[in-house]
Amino acid sequence: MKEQPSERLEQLLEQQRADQHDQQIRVGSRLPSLPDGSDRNAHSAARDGGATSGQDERELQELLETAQRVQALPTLKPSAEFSARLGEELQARARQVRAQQRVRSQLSFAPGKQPSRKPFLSPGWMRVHPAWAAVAVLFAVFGLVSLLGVIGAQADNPSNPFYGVKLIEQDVQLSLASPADRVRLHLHYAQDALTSLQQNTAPQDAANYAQLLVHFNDELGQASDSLDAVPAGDEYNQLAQQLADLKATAQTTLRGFLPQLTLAEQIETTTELGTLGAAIPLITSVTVNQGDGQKATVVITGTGFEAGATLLIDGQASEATPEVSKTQLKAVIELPEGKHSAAFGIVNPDGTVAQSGQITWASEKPTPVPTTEPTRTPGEGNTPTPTPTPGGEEHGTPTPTPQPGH
Amino acid sequence: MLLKHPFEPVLVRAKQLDSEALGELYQQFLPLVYGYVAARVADRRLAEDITSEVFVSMLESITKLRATDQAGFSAWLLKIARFRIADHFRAQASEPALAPGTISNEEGEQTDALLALPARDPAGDPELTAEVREEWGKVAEAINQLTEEQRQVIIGKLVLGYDSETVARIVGKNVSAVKALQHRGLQTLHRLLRMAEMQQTHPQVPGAPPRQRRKGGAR
Repeated sequence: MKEQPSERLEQLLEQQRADQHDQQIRVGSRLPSLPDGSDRNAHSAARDGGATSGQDERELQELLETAQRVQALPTLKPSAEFSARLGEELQARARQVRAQQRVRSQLSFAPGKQPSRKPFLSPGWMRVHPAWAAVAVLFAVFGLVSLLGVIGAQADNPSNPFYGVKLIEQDVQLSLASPADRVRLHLHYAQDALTSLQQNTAPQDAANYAQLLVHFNDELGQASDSLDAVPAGDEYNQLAQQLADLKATAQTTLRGFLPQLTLAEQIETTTELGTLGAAIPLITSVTVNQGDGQKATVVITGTGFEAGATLLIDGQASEATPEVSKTQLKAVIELPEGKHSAAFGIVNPDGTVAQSGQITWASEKPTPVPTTEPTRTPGEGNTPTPTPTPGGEEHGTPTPTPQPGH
Repeated sequence: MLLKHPFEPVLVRAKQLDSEALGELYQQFLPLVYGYVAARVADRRLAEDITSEVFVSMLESITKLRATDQAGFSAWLLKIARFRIADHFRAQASEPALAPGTISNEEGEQTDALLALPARDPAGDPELTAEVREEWGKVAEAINQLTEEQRQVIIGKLVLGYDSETVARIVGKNVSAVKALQHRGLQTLHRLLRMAEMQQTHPQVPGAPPRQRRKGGAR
């Protein structure tokens, strides 16, 4: 049986934590630390425990890196100075509160004095007849909730001020639903987000588009998570089929948007298509060989490249005509004087995009450049291990960057 | 999260405003509250102020607290923190925006936001200080867009280093649900961080997404 991704992630995070703990102990006792590759080997070992596809493995790696970013923040622990100062303030405050309470209790039990009782319904009109007052309050609340519900239900766009109301309303519906209904609701919300995306493909709606895409992904993911809670049987099969159908529809719909989108949106949409199981371009490495002049040869290696793909340099289409195979794009480009850094990308004819991170190179003496910061394992020498780049372009198996001729 | 004494009796004494018990609760839950707040407001001084407010509120209303166990108490503290943060965001929304990189001190004077970072962090390197501050801001912005449950799980597990069982007790879910929330939370966080970076790299995309209240987020 295939291990759940959330279980595997938990396992890897635990492993990561244990590795960090070990490293701290080693540093503390001044023992030599293990080579850099040890962590990765440990993670690989943990990964080997479950049957993972390249896509899953890449996603897990990305999630681990995100977790590390959160863990690496040094600012989320209180300083000792603050801790001590607040502690003192609170002790003083506690003494004050205790003193106030003593005074209050003495006053309320003073001879001849009745303890004051605040009426629960203080306004005069409510005291007339509590039953009618309660009915009126119920009607008012019901009317307000209905009004907000109607307004919220029509707010499909994140820029609509009532969009928040709609999300709250969805939360309420979800909290009351059975596991199977929860799946149906998440599928419904995902479908809504997909429909709204269609109205936000213009460049000026880029922010809405980005948010709706995240919302769509979130709803689809939660539908998938909620499905796990539905018992096996006809209903489960039916819902699983609906989920699969929506994923297939979404692939077609999102592909249809690609030609109208800005580059950043295209990259996000491509990533989403990859999540939905579609074939997308992925970059594993980039090399730039610049000779003495302004000409340079760019070689992008990866998978999912299609004939007719074009080269992107810093988000702009290059005029160079590249040679493209399924796994490599090669182009000779003219560089402006002094340019030794750029982000390279590839756009397939269907509009799917993969983009590397910012890379730098030296002229005259060409050197291989990985897509992002390389990590090394013992014995690998200068071979970079591909790490995920903004387009999600990386497979689990490292592809060595070829050494250019000097 | 271990107390020197069993939790329930300590809470009973704290409800009677016993100094020692209050001190023990404070020592134990300060990292939880501060971690939660600092993960959402990327400013040390502000995080300290809000944390102080949370503990003052705790002190003022602990006598009326109905929770009797550690999970209920943690959830209650986090709820106070959430309300205080929401108050801060509301107040911030009604104030005129300051120039980037500046904050106001108690007297309303604008000071360099870098001063708000602990001096120990980036070892006095101004460039590194700025980088840390920027990274903190980015991560906080993304964390604010998670659902409340995802946020509590991510902060509990990654910032505070609690195990899944402890976090499950705090958020009132089972361990499997916590793992699923962690997975979904990290996925969303990853996407949001990447999107923010993409929008920084490609300025043709007009601005960052507006801070909308996503499902359960920033409430």
